[in-house]
Amino acid sequence: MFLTILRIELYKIFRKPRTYIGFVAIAVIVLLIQLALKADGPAWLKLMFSGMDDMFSIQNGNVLNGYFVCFLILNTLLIQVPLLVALVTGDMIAGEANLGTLRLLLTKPVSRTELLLAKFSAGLVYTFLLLVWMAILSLFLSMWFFGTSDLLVNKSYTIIQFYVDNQGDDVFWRYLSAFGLAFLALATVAALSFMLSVFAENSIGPIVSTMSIIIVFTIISTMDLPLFTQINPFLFTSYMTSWKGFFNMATDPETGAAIRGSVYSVGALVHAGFILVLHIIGFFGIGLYSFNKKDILS
Amino acid sequence: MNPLVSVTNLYKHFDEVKAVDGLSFTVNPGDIYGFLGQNGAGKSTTIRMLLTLIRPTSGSIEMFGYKLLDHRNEILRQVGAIIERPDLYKYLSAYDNLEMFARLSGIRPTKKQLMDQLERVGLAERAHSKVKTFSQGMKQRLGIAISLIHDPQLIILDEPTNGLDPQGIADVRRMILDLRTEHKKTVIVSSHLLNEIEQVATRMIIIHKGKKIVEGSTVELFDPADTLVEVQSPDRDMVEKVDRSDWKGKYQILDNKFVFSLHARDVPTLAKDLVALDIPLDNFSRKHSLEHLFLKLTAEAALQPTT
Repeated sequence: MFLTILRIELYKIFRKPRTYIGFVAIAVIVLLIQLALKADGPAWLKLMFSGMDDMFSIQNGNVLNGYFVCFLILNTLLIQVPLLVALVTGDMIAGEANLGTLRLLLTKPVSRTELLLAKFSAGLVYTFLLLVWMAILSLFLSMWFFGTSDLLVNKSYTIIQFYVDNQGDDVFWRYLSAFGLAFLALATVAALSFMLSVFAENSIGPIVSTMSIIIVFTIISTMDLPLFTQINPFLFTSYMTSWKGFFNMATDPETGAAIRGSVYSVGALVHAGFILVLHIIGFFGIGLYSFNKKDILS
Repeated sequence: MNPLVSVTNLYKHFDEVKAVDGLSFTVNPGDIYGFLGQNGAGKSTTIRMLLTLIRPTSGSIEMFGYKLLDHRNEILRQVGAIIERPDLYKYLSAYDNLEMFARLSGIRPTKKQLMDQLERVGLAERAHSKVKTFSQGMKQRLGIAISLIHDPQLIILDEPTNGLDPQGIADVRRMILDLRTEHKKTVIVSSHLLNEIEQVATRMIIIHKGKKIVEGSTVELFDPADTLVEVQSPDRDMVEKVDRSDWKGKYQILDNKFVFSLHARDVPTLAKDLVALDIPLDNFSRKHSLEHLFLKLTAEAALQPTT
C-alpha cells in the first residue's frame, strides 16, 4: 500500500503547476549566470583574482571552466533553494487540509503513519529531483558550455587548486559528494516545512514559517556572540553549507602541501551529515506524532 | 440480527464543550439511518468519529462486529463516505480523482469499471475534464461515485444535499433509495433537511446538544393520529362550507392556510369531502410530520436542565 500511496502522491505533486516553479526558477538563474559569465567572465575573473596571479598556474585549460562556474552557481543558489523546497513540502498536508481533501483521504483504509510516510517520501523525491535538475544545469551544462579544467577556490584569500590532469580528475567526485550533503541539508528543510504543514490549515503559513526559521537560525549561526556560539552546533542551519567542506583539502603535516584526493576534515562532514539526519528524524517524528493525535475538523 | 454499527456511551469533549455526550445507537443491515439534529447538535462530530477523523474522548464504536479503532483499515475498506461537500483535487480530472481514491480504497479498477462508475453518476462525458470546471452538483455526483467505487457495505453521507439545486437533491434522494433497494446497502445519512430524511429513512435518531433524544423506526416514531394537512383555497366562503361539514372544529387557520389535524387514514376522506363541498383547492399537502416531531422533541429537550 505504501508504494501505491507514494505513486499517487508523486502524481499529485507533478500535476500541480507550483511544482514547476522551482525547476523554472533554477533554470532561469543558472542560464542567466552562465550567459553573463560567457559574455563578461574573463574581465570579472581578472578583477576577482587580481593580486593572486602568482598563487596558481593552470597548465591546460582555463580558470573560467565548467567546474568553476558550477562552484559559483552553487554558492549563489543553495541559499535560495530551501524556499523552492518549502513551496512544495509545506503544502503537502496544509494544502490538503485547505482543499478539504485531507478528510476524504483519511476516510480511506490507509493508516495515518503510512500516509504521512508516503507523503514525506514523495517530498524527498521532489527535493532530490530538484537537486538533480540543479546538478544537470549547473554542473553538466557548465562542463559542456565552458569545458573542464582545474578548479580554483578562493578560501580566505588563499587559492586552493583542485587538479584535472593526466593523473585524473580531482573535482568531479567532490561535486557528487557535495550534492549528496546538500541533499541532506535540503531534506532537513523539507522535513521542517512538512512538520509545520501538519499544524497548519493553509500552505502559506508553513512556507513563511520555514523561511523565517531559516533566516533567524542563519543569523544566529553567523553572529559570533558567546551565547550564539553555544547553540550553533545544534542548529541545522550551521550545516547548510557544509558541502563546501568537500572543496578544502587536507595538507601534509611535514611538507604543508595539499594532499590530492583528500578533504580537510572527513569528521566534520560526517558530523554535519549526522546532525542533519537527526533533524530530519526529529522534525518528521514530531509531525507524525501530532498528525496521529490530530482531530480532522476542517 | 447483529447490528452493523453499534455505538455505546460515546463522548467527545473539545476542552469544556461536550460535543457528544454519552451517545448510544445501533444501525442494522439494510437500514437507511437518518441522523437528525440542529446545527451544533453533534451530528458531524459523531459521523467523523465513525470515520476515525476524530478520536472519541471515551466510549465504544463497533462496526461489522469489530472495534473500530482496533480494526480501522479492515472496517474502512467496507465503508464509503461523503463528509459535507466532497472536496476533490481540482487540478485533476474526474477520472483521475476516481482512480486515485479507488486505489486508496484498496482496489485496482479497470478503465471500464471507472468509466461505468462515471456513467452511473452521469459524468462519463466529462471524465477527462478537470474538476475545477465542475458545478457543485457535478462534484457531489463525483463524490458519490468515489464513495461507491469499492462496493462498500456501509455508506455514510454527511449532509449530502448541501449546495445542490432541487434536481440534484432529488437525484441524491433517488440514489439513496436505490442503494438500499437495488444494491442492498446500509446507509447512514445526516441532514438538516427534515423532509429529505423523512422521505428516505427507515430508522432515525434525533440528537440535541450531543445527546440522543429519540431513536427508532419511522413507523414507531410517527404517530398516525397526529397527522397535519395544509389546505389553501381562493374560496372566501370556505370557513362556512367546512363548518357545515363533519370537519368543523378539526382545523386551525394559520397565515391564511387551513391546517387540519386528523388521523393519517382519514386524509383521502378529507380530500374527497372538500371536493364534495365545492371548494377549489390551490394547495392540499400533508405537513411534514417529522418536522412536527423534531420541533416538539428538541423544544422539550431544550427545557431539560443541563447536567
